[in-house]
Amino acid sequence: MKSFLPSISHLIFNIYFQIIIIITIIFILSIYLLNKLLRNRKTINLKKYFNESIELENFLTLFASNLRFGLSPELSLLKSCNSYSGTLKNKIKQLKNYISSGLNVFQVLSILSKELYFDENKRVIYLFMKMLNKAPRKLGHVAYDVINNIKELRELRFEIDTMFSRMKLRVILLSIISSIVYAFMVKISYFFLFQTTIFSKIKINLENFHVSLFIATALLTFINSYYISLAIGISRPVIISIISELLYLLAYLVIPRIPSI
Amino acid sequence: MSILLKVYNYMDFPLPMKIVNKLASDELKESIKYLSIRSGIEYLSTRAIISSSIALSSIISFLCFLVLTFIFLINVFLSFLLSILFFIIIYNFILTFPIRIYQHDKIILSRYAYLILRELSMVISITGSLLDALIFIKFGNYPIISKDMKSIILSCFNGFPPGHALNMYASFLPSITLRNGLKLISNPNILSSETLSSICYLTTSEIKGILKDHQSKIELYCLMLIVLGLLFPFSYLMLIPFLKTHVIDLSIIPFIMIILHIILLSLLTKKLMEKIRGVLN
Repeated sequence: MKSFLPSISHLIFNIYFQIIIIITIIFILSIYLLNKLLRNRKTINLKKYFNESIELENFLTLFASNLRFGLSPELSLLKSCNSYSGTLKNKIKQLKNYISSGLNVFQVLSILSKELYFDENKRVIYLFMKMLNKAPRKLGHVAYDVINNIKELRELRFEIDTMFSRMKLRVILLSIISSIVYAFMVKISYFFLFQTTIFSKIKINLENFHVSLFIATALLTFINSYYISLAIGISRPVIISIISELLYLLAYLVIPRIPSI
Repeated sequence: MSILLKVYNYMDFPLPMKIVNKLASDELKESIKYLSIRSGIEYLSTRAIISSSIALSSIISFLCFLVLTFIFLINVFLSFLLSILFFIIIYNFILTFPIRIYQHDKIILSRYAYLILRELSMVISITGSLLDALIFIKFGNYPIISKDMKSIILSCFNGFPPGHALNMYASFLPSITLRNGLKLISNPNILSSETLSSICYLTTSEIKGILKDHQSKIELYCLMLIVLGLLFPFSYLMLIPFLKTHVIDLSIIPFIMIILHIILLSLLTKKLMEKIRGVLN
């Protein structure tokens, strides 16, 4: 039977040149994905974020307990500044000077919120300011519950974020590894095809089969990664599909043909 | 996203409404409505999306046919088969783009729906102000919703009542939990402490349980897709001894199998993803 399909080498005219191009594209795409991931400040500074959140909650707990004793908001803030000894110490120390210079509690709290790095923590201060504005006397009783609520919600959010980011990472890795496995299977299929044709006594062109299986599996890799990326909620599923596809090609080029070993 | 939206606009050609209605599912219509509101584009219609997907996929598959036949020197029949395959894939890709955006946003919003509602009800019960609650969510750095809150707050500063703005926003949200919760919150007449506590009645452990269930189902679905993919070359090899070479060229089989695989994937996704999304809503 005359071969009507081109050989793989026809499609891939220079194997080393192809490998370099594929590695470069994978590198660029990976940098793009990493850059996108790191653009979120919280991702880079997760430790910093937790430290700031926990310390702020500790400081506000002190503030709330002083308010509960019936002290004025300014005096409560001053007392909490004196008794606080956490990692936000330097920022809190400055607040004492502001209170001594005559600024009211709202001005001091807004200065503290500007000093904080994360928006999620700034909004807690904002909430406290609103509470103070609405009912300063009630604040002492409510503040504890609010801080506990905020703490609980922060922990819940962290769990949700980690749960889904771990799942995303696991599934993406699995999808990428599976593309390498597909390439390996296409490579060994040549050997199996050879065996099958001998046993079933079919006269066929093995090269034709191999090329068609190679193209079909390449399509399958792309489609599978695309569907998987969609399922896990990735905003740009095509990028993951392209990376899987390139890895498939790279693995195909690197893995030697089994009968030739 | 904006590129594809422009394509929808440029390739909008008159198609009979009978064909449009046959090709467009209810989900597609709902997704198009959502996408047009989210992107602020009024011209986005079902007809535009269907006609542009037909036109674009025809052009690309024809180009593929030419490239395969004249550059890669592949047999004309096989090139034709491959171009049909490309047509199906591209047509599906362009047609289901609004659905994908809709489902993606639905998944993300549903994940954070309980958290957002709990935060909103907490802030409202403390400050009694809806605007403060919206500002609190805006600075929460939640995906999608924090950005949307920015525009709602802006419209409130321009004189729009916060309740009305939130109600309008909630009405097109894909997440049912979030939509219903926001609608309840946006109505100041029925907003009491009981209503606020009923908005998010689930405890933290219950929320965690629901999300873990959702996560494990997604992982199982992904694993199924990968296993199906791994079975593909094997099933092809198993088929060979049973096929007669003079009836059909065996090189075509993988491509036929790919079409079958896509159909299987679509059916599987439709069935399973409905169940997975049903966990969160």
